[in-house]
Amino acid sequence: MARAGGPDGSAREEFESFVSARGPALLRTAFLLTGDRGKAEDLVQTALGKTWPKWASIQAEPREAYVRKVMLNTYIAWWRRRWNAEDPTEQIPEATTREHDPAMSLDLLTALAGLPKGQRAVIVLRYFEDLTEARTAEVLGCSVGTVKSQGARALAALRTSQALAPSEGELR
Amino acid sequence: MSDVEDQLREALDRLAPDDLSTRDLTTGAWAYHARVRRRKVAAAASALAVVLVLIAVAVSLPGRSTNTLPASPLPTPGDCSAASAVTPAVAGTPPSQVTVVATWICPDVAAGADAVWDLPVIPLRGPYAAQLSVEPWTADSCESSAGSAAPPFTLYRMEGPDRRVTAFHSKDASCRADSLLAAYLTAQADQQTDQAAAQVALAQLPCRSETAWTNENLSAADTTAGPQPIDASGRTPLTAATLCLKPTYLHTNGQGVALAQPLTVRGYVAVPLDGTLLATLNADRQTAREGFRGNGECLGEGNWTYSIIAKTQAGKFLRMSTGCLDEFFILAPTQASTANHYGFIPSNETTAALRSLVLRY
Repeated sequence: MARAGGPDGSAREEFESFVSARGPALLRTAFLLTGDRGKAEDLVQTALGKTWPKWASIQAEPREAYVRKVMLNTYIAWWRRRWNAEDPTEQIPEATTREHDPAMSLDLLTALAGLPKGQRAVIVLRYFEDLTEARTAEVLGCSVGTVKSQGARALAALRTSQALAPSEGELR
Repeated sequence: MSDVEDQLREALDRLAPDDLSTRDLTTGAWAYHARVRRRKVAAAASALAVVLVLIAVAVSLPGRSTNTLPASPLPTPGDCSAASAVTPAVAGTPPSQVTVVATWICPDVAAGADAVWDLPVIPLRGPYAAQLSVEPWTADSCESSAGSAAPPFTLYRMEGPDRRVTAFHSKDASCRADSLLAAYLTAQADQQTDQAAAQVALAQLPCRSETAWTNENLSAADTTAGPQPIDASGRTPLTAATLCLKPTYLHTNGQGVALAQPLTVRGYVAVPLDGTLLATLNADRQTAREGFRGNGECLGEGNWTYSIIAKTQAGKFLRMSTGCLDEFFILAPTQASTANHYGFIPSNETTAALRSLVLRY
């Protein structure tokens, strides 16, 4: 595999260790952003590929944060990119592994897919990554006010999902 | 913290799969890095003759109607002068969950655009307008963008049911003006191609957008039945085929999104495939397999994305598509899900022949 231009030696080992340790978490976030396992893998690979040339110069502590920021930027930059023939239909991706109620999960995935990319990113960062509004704004490079407004709109849209529907007797 | 927010946290945690494999991530990342180093942004080609022809074709299209178009009144290029009558879209508050009736663009003369700048004169309508996402998002996604290649423009959007018109200035899109205009032009190409295809029978193998093909040829059962084997008819020899070239305006490279060709109107190009190419393609298709995910190298090739509309000896139609000419994904009734691609790597001979064809356009 060509690795020209990137760091060498121990940096490769560190890179591989990092991917092995943090890859699953990155993939889970990417899955929620893209709604598809294949796209999630593409997104993480691309983010890692962009990070690799700078690997040796990134301090160990913020490496994951750096990769996540690159991943988010890439995701948003691809907002209009064609996923060349790999997404031919609007069908729901394959079922996830930790099913609570498959119908509800698919419903939520569908609802997420209907959100504009920016809103979806806010939802994933705020409610999956558990970032604060300020940190979310920092990662996305926008204002806290924008995070609030985007998040509020997204929540309003997601309330129609079965997964967030009130239980019997509960007021919406 | 509200109950809904807690519910959402739990639901997202359940939704995110925890069995995703990291096996290929490292090699994929290195492969991406290697590709980026090799890739050069395609040189911008002069397309003046093509532009003139396509504008002429586009002007001739409004008279045609399809049942997917909304009823009148629809905007016309003259609506560019009605800028003062529209409701401006506010940056940071992208409209969402609205029914989009039509979208059209005009030069933003006040921002310095040339009033005679060539723009598509046909509005996007119905689903083609709806797929155009207008988000004045301010995130730092420009990466290494060296400024916008798109002249200043205003995008008008007619939203239902009251047909309110909103305006969005490209300057509010920051470095994304290129992306927005590229998306607009791509949707124009899809709309134009599908309208033309609607006038002829599928047996004539007209080019059509992926969305139109899917809607017309894949049933709901095909997309929800789950992975299915490629049956014998899936390998039946092709008897006729059309190579369709769809314009691509932006490429993703190592530094972000780069302009691949001028942001001007450009339509699909249809190229019938000869018997020799069909024969090699038929031989290649015997290697098609489920779960195909491509060779992992493709980030796009040239100024187009590619598809082949074909008819098999069994009388079935199928569509093969790709961003690069050294891999093909097949959309046919055996297509089951995005996670279970059906495709193949063509021979070097096939790829070379297709590339030589494409060079003519």
